Order: sequence, then C-alpha cells, then structure tokens
Amino acid sequence: MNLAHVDGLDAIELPEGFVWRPVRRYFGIQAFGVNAYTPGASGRVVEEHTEDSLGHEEIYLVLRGRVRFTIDGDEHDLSAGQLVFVRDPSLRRGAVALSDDAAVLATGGKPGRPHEISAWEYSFPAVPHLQAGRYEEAKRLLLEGLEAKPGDGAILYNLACAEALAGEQDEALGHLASAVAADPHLLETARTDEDLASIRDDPRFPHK
Amino acid sequence: MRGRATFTVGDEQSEAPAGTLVFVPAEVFRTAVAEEDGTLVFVVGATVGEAFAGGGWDTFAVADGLRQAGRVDESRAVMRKEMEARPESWALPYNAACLEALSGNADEALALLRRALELDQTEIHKYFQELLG
Repeated sequence: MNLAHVDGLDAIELPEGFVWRPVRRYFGIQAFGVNAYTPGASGRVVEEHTEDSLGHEEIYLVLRGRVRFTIDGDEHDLSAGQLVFVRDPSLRRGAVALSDDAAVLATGGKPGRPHEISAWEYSFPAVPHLQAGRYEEAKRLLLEGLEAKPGDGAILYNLACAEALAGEQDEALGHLASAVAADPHLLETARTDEDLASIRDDPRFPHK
Repeated sequence: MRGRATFTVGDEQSEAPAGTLVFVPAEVFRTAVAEEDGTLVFVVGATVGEAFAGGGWDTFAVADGLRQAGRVDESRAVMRKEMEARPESWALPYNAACLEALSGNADEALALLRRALELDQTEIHKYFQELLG
C-alpha cells in the first residue's frame, strides 16, 4: 500500500527556517500538488509567499498542534483539524508554529488548468546540498529538474549558483544568462546573491 | 487527520493513525473504517492531465441530505444551481432525476433523465445496464 506517516517523509529544512515534507514527490502524484510542512529552527512552518507566479488557489490543513497563519496581514490562530483557504494568489500568506509538534498539509492548483509540477519542487531538494557544499549532488538534482521543466528560469538560476559555488565559472555564467533570459526578474536577485559572488565581476555577468 | 482508521486498498489492509497519508491510483478499490470515535479523514484528488472539475457527487450528497430531511425545495435548488453552472454535465441531471424519483415526482424525474440521456447516452446506458443486471 502507498502509505506513509508525515513524520516518515523526507525532512528538508530550508533557509527560511521551515521543514518541507515532500508528499507529492514521495508518492509520485501527478494529478495535484500536495505537501506537508513542520517547523524548523525559526519556528516558521509555512514560508511567507504569494502564489502570483503560479496562480494557485491553496488550502492549508493543520494536521496537529497549533499554528498562527498570517494572510494579507491578518493573523489567525488555528489548531488541529482547522482549514484555511486562500483563493487570491496575490495575497501574502505564511505561518509560524505555536507548538513544537505542529504540522500543516497544503494542497493547491490553478483553476481551469491541469496540474503542473512546480519548478520549486525541483529546486528545494537541492538547497540542503548547496548549503552543505555537496555541489555535485545539488547539480544532479537541478539537472533532473531541467529535464522535467526545460528552460525554467528558477532551476537554471539555482544551477548557476551551484556551479558558481563549485568554481565552475563558465558553466555558471552560461546558465545564469539563460536564467535571466527566461525570467528577467532574476537579474535583481543575482546582483546581490552571495552564491554568485565568484562570478559577479566577470564581464559576462548579465547586467541588463 | 484525527483518530485512527483501517484502510483497505486493493487487497491490502493497513492501520492508519493520525498523520498517515495514503495514495491510491484511480483504478484501485479503496475504503476505510474508523477505529476510534471522532476519526476524521481529509481527502484530495484529481485526474492526471486534466483541469480539476468537481464530480458533482458532493452536490448530490448535500442535495440528498436535504431531501431526506424533508427540505425538498432546497434540495432541488441546490441541484438546479449546479446544473446551471455546469450544463455539460450528464451526471447532474441524472442525479437530480434520482432525487425527483425518490421524492415521488415522476414527471420531473423523467424529464431530467431525458436531459441526461441527451448529454451522454453511453454513460446513462452503462448505469441502466448495472441496474438491470
């Protein structure tokens, strides 16, 4: 039986201080997006974000513990069994745990469109490897992501970061140029991203 | 989500305490029974490669609950609203026909059944064959 307990899933702690439990990825679900989150070192359980880029409606379910959601500036304290639905993708949303055992399940999708696996699902697993200096493993995961989502700006950008950190300057500059061409907004991030410090002074570094 | 349930998926049975996730492909039979009072299961699903569209069963469940409570006009209004929103659905007029038949309104039931047949003869005949054996 395809069965798992939320505590038995991978626990991928991300820089924003929350732990991603990749439900969709674990089961290989294709029809819809679903993930779980538990608090990391910062106590955050859902990163502060909007769904502007994906256009997703989202629903969050508190699986256990207590959680404080902030949605469009309004705070809502929720306990196990409570649900919060965010229809408007532009609303900023995030949550912090009010108890150590907190766990949240999130599912979402874009109305009227078949589910597409989001690019961040390919980038997030690489983050702990980048932070630990395991650049080859990070690159392997990101290249897998590019096979699934060719030309995706965010994955290309993260690949450029991994290559820059690994000292592979030519590859990093090439992938960064492709990333910025795919998503010009990434240029702003690239200007100050520490991961790209080793290539920022190269004349090939994209400036506009 | 809360409590404890025993899931049967295909030929397998498994205990599922709170926090357990069970993934089931479309074609596999599945059911669950609660092992504790207050057990609550949260379900999410969709068709691979297709935009999500409600199956209409949840509307039917609400409407049937109203019918069983004697609130036939409200039951009818729930189905009518969904049929207006999704005029292409054969299942909605089919289920509305069932509700009318159960309420003893044969004329309205037959009219809805004809509408369902116009929308998808194949599906309706499948149901008829199941009913007739």
